[in-house]
Amino acid sequence: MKTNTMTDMETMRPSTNITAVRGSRFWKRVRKQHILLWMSVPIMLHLALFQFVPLWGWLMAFKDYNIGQSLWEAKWVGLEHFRTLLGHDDFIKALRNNFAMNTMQLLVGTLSSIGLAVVLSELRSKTFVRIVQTMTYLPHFVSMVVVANIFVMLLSPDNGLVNELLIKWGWAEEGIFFFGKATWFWVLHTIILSWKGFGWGAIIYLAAIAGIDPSLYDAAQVDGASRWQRVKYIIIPCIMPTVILLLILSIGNLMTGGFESQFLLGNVINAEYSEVISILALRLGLNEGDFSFGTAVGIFNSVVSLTLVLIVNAIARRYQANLF
Amino acid sequence: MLQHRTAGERIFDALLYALLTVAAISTVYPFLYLLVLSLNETTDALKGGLYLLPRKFTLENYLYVFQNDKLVRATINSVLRTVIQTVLSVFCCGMLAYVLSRRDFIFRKLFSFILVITIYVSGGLIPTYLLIKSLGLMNTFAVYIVPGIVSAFYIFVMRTFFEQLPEGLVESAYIDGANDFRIYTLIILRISLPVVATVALYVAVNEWNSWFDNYLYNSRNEKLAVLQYELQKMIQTVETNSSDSGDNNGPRIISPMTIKATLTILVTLPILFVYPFLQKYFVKGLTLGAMKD
Repeated sequence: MKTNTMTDMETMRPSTNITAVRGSRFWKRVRKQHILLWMSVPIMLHLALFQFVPLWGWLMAFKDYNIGQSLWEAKWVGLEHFRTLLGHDDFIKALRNNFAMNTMQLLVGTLSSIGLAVVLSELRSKTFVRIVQTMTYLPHFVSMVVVANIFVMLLSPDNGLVNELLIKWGWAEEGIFFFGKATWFWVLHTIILSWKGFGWGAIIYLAAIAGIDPSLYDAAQVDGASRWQRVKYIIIPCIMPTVILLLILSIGNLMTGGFESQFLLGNVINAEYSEVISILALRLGLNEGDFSFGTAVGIFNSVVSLTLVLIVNAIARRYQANLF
Repeated sequence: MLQHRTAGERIFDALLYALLTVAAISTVYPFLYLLVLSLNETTDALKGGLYLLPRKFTLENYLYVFQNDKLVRATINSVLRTVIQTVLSVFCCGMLAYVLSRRDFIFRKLFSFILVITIYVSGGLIPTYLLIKSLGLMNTFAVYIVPGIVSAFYIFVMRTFFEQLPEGLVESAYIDGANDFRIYTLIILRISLPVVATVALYVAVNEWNSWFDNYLYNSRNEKLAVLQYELQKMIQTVETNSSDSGDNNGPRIISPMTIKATLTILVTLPILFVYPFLQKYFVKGLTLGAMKD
């Protein structure tokens, strides 16, 4: 254990019995810092209660737990719940939906944010840039409920603006129930989430572009590069490390992330394509009362995400160490 | 670096401006459309054809919402939870952040390590649900506040800021006879406005926007509903039965469509008012957050 070297040297010099001194020095420091301890202990206890006590509930996944029963009394079943889980039809679908929607959203969201950042950085009128930024950030701060509500209304088969226009322009005979077409859900979800996040996502790329050495632009100008060439050969390569880093960091979510948007936009009709793993845990675990099974789903979620994060961190640390 | 611009450059510029204008309009127009719907007379709105301005201007939708006890109560609940949680969470997270920013604190490493773990590992939906239930927090207002007071992320953001403050500050306060709690409340919090504002705004937006804890823990007690939850219920019921409106206590016909639009606008308004002024804090918060790892 590393301790404060200053006090270490002061206290150790006159003594020969190191452990005794360490012990008494520990209590001395506790006494000296008792106010700091009073300030931190309640908050650490709060964490222990709300973050670590639920981990105890993970035992449920390895037992046959019924409501009202005590967790101790429940019968051990080992990995049975996990085995049924991996063979469960809905689970495979949920996993597929998770992966598909997260990948699509990651790609489209990243590209639209980069596009916005590049275009914004190319403009001279700072007022215009600020107005556009203010407008495009907006959906980020609005709740997913509001966003879902907006799109459900816009795409509604009766009275929805989109359908109204489609009919008016003769592109559709009657209102299309967009959220009623199961296979469209992934695309709609991607568009909606990208709409919500692209302005906010651009901030970090704008910062990366602002950090580019201006002498590169000057050199390009001397060489007679066009604006487009400047974007292609300077800006894009220069922000690539940031792009890659952010992509790497989001891989932890790829297999399991997401819940709110799918829950709010999904409905019974498109469930086959909208139900993700967390929703499955909610449905089977809470709504249908199979607590053990629902917990197993949750554990799967945590373990997969954590594994991905750790792998990705290890890779990122090796190859992009300078970025951390 | 002003110089002659070629025709190609001008076209390029014009293209960029056009592109951005489209992007900006596409983000704002949906909100504008709902605003127009909410300000238009209901039966007229059902005919469609509303794009930029209300055709038959009226405030009846807003009056309806404000006369609806359920929605008024939900608004009060939302405001209360946002205010209480923001104050509590900033104070408590800041307190631990201050302790952890003290380099000589005896459990500095241990506590930081425990905090990091909470970012990556959590019990999950069902174990947390059972905990809340056994603590007796179901169907109480406290369930909005208590579980969410502490967040490792905010603590780290604040600790990073506190560590940059001059060390002499704390020492001179000690000499003046102040203890750590007083130093934290009287000095640290007051000189750390940028980070306090950032975290406060994050917490406030987050609280204002949340609905899932309501859905999960308080859906049996209507008196405890928050605005977002009321809105959420509307999305999922109105699509299926558009003639259901239980408390229609007057000759006025109000359709779920305009009410949904009105409620959406009302829920969005506080954020609209707050955020343009505080944008710089949000952006700073994002960069602070990005430095965390």
